[in-house]
Amino acid sequence: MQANLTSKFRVFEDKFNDIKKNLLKKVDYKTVYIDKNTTNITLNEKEKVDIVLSPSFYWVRDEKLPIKYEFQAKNLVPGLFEGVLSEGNYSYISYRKADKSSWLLYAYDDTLIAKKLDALKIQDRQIHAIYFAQSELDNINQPIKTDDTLALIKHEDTLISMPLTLVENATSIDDALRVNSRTSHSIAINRYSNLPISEKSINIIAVTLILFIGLFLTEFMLSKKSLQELYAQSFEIKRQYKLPATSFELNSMKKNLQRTASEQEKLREVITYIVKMPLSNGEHLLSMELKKGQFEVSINLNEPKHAEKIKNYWQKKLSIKSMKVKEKTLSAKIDI
Amino acid sequence: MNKINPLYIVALLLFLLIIVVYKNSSMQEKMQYQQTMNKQTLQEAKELASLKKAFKSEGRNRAMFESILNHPHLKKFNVEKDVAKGRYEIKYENLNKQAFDALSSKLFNSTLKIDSFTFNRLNDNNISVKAGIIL
Repeated sequence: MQANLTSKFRVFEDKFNDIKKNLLKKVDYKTVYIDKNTTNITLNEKEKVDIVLSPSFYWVRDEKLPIKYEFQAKNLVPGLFEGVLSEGNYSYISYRKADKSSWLLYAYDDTLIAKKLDALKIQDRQIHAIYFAQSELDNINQPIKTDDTLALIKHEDTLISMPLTLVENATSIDDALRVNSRTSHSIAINRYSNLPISEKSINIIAVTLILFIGLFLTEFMLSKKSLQELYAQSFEIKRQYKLPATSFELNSMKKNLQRTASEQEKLREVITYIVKMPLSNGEHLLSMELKKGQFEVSINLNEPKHAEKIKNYWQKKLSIKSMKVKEKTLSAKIDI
Repeated sequence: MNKINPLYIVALLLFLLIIVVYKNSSMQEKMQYQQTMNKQTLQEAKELASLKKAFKSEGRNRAMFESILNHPHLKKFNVEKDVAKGRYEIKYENLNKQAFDALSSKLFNSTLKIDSFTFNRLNDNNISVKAGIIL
């Protein structure tokens, strides 16, 4: 029973180790060495490669600097190459050597490298990373044949290209690249150093844009906060005045009250107009009744024909539903 | 590796700026709309409150009607009161002209919701009046 369990556990452990190995496995890309003389590189369309550049593409200095970090070196490097470099747009990188005794400082012409890559028809998507020969072949002990005419040798810790005829016992570059795995010192190529607008101007534009983005974003955030306050204010108005939840209810309530107000106003206008009628001496209102939206009025007249005068007056503003004169009494129904 | 084209970064920032400006202006519009809505709601609320006060405030209307009935010219006359749910009716059998003028003027100049109003001239000096209001 115990033996059975142990064997099952071992199988499980092996499978786990396989999975772990596959997950942690570093992807190794094919490495190609490029020199200024390189004329042809054959790559598959979907193949991705690491590129190692020959010393002809960069300047390198080994310096002891009183600094601790890479970012501190960044400002120093251009000054250290001043007067050494020919005209061009250069980028710089630096890193501390493995034994931490000194710094390796590089200057390279992006345009030159980019042009070479274009000439070799190596597309951006085919490049995994680009390195300098100095960082990748730092530990060679014998000359390396890079092509039919050149070889790499190490001279005072610096790799330099030499005519092949001047060296002996050179090994193949492919073997050297295969033996040494790639370091973390890859470089970035600025293909756009020859843009019609200078990097400084681009930086100014970018910073200005970022500032504006920040400005508008701040205003947006403040407005968002204000909007929340306005929503709260709206809620507070509704709560304070006990308004109904929906605008439909609110409108209906308002309409009813406005109708009442308008009816009452009209009622007062009508009664005021009725009582201001032109009566002669001795004539007077006998009765008046407000009933179902109309006034029933009785008036005592001196003469029946005087009713016509009152009718003319009322008709100017009121709607007379009926009117009759019996003896000297005028009876009328007036709509409100 | 190749560096990213800085113009792409500028374009991206420009795009971001456009989005932020658009979002900001739409937020400003929302804010302005809400401000207008709040003003309108407040105005409507005040209007509604004053309408409610005039026509939907039972206690206030009852008190106002009572104060009319307590007018010095009316106080000495007998009045029949009928207060049912939501309605208040009064009846004077024998008001003099002065008291009638006081009652009708006060009633029609108030904001009370007059439901019924009847008067009959009994003789040169006396008038009977019936009036009802909705509370």
